[in-house]
Amino acid sequence: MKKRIKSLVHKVRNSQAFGPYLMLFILTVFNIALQGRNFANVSSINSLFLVNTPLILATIAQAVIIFSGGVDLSIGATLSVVNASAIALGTFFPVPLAWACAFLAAVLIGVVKGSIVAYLRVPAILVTFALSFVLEGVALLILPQPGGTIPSSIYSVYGGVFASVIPISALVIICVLIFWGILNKRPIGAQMKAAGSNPRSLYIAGVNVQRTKMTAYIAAGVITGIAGLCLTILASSGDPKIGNEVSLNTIAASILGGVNLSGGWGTVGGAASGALFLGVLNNLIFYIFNNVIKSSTIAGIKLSYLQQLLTNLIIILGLCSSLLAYVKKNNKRKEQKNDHENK
Amino acid sequence: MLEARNISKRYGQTTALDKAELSMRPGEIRALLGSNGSGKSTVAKILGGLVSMNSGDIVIDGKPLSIHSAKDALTNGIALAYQDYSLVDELTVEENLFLNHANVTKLGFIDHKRRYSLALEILERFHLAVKPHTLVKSLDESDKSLLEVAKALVFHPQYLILDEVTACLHRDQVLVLFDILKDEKAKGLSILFISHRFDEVFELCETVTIFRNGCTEYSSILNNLTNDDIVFYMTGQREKACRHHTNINKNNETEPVLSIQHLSVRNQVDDVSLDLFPGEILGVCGLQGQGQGAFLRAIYGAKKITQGSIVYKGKKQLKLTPEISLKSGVAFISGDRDSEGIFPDRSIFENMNISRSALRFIFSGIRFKQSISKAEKMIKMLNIVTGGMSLPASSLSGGNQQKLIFARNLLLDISVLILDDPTKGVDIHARNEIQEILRNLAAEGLACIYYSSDYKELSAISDRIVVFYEGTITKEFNDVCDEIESDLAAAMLGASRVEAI
Repeated sequence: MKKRIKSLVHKVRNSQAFGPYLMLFILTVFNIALQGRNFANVSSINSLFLVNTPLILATIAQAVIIFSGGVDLSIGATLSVVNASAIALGTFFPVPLAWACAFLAAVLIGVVKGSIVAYLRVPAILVTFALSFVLEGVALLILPQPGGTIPSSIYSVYGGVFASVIPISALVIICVLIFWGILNKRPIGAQMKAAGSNPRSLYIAGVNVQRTKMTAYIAAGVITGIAGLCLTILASSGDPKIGNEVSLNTIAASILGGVNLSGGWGTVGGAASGALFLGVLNNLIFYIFNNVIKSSTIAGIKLSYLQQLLTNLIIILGLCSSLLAYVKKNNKRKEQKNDHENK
Repeated sequence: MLEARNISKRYGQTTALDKAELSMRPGEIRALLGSNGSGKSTVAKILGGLVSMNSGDIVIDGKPLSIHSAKDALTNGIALAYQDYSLVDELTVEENLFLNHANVTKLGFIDHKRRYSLALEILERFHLAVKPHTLVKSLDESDKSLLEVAKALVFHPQYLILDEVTACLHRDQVLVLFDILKDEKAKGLSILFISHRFDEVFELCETVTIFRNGCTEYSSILNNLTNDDIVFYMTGQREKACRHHTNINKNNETEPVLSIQHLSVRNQVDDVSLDLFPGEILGVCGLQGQGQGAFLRAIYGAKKITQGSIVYKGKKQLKLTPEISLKSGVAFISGDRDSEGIFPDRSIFENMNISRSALRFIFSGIRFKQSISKAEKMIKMLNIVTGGMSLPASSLSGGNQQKLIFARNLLLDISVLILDDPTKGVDIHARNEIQEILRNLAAEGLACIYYSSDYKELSAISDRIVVFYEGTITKEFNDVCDEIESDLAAAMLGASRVEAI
């Protein structure tokens, strides 16, 4: 048992996402110290996951695409399409069928992105930027006005707690992580990262690079679909613009999670913890502004603006530190290498 | 048996391979020799599926096959180890070795235990002191080259092509590698060994194919050949390039314009001292990656100097950057036009004036009339063939692009010109023109340091030649004449070292 814990500690220490895990841990400890029982109870943890699951899942999808050497600016718009079609179709068809269609739409969008990026070799950033406008338009076509509703039973299941400790929404995340784990434990896992960091090597090794990239986009599509459905449950209604702002957040969260934008480096667990970091941070800042500072204005400045400013400043700090950590690690390796050579 | 017949390959206007022939028999280690640019690597890449040929046939055991991708080559049993590594830095050693390898359980998961033990076995066989879980980016260059060979062997190929894999190996690693190769040969593997190091070729190979200018020049048993024979087949007996040497009176009393003292650059250049006199063209010679590139860039200030000093016109240079160098009159011309030379989308005029305007105060205006007339003069003087100065630089041919960079630097008032293989990929006509220009400039007192990968070119233009080997100058030729060419070729391969021992 002791040995197991030791090897687990060793594994975490050497993980590519050690920094993000540490950052999340420190922030959580700080939060608990500040809020005490107000934060560390089942219902508030549950609501933390409830609110943040869509972002965490979307970040995982983003990370998968970044691994394979791309970036997806249309994840937010994809979420909007899933939300809009789930609600719009739900008025004509039984809910399970409508939601299955919405999910499949996300996978299909992944296929489209993948085929343009991999087979037509258009840079991912251009494809997904252009597609984001197309998809925003599609979402508005499907559901011109916000509105609609979902069966309350779904919400009560999603908002529930399993075994009176684990939030159901966290279980969804765990399922997605297991899904990724299954992929990652196959040869395709390393191949996706190779496609991101050095596609030529992958080609030389006799692997079809295009197909590998395609797989990454489809996997990301599946995860985005689940994220869209979670977002729909959370909102309990339809809004064709609901996800549009999420795209850049997922990129920021990925970088916070130690994923390198140039591809091939990072872990999905790190990306998830980066997104969770954003969630815990929002929770913390919200608490400070509502419970510690009680007035709503300071020197005539509306505090809600200040709140956003502070949150984003901390995010910038976090981004700098994760990028620095990556550079430092590389430098350290180089130094070791040089020392070795000099010997 | 693998045969490549009548293989031709053209890149734009240059012909890399012209009806080249090559064959590999099972249980044989064949050397493939040739000077730089003779098409050795191209033929290797064609066989490996990285480059497609223009015409020719590849036949294995009498069956013709078409290779369109690396995958095709691998399924036909042809594996390559590359001189520029094909490893993924971000992955571990183990993941790199088995990037495209099944080793999976019934459910399709990676069989980690089996893969790990296999990787350990391979690493042990290659005497590599790294763990399978080490990231490749933390490895030494030499370990990476060995890993490259190991990765190719993982596919259990029938034909193995090694493209200059020994270039950065230590001697003990070379011996380990040769043992493995001989062992594999005994098991029936056919190996094509591409190398610049003659001694290693004689040590390992029985048969040899020699390329010259993309053609097969000689193909037979190696034992019949001597070092000189090989150099003869590699270089041939072409007409000697015409000489432009002016006899400069080497006056020992003249001050050197540039004096380099004990210069070192980390891991690349080791304690080099040189004096450069006005009006002299100093040739720098060496195989690829012997430190000359870093040396030239260090003088210019584009690379950090770890030790030593540079005295320019009697003044010690304390801080060197390209900007300071250019201002004080030291210019640098790289043969790598795409990454260190022209701005292909900008106009010829802009390309020519970029350095000149960059050196002035940032808000000072450009005197267009004056600049244009100067540029026109330069175009006339260097005989640059253009359709107009406002056309993009990419509209020029390679040779004219190179002359454009000359023009850029000649617009400045320079007294030292550093050239790093300026005639790379330039055809013979433009090459002669460039050399003519250099000769004229030198006659006016310009000092040049001229590196070229082609020693013939060097012996044609230089007044003095130094040879770089493993980061330091191993030999200096003060009298340049036709007869030294074979000596040069030998010195480039480190022969003087061997003599010294």
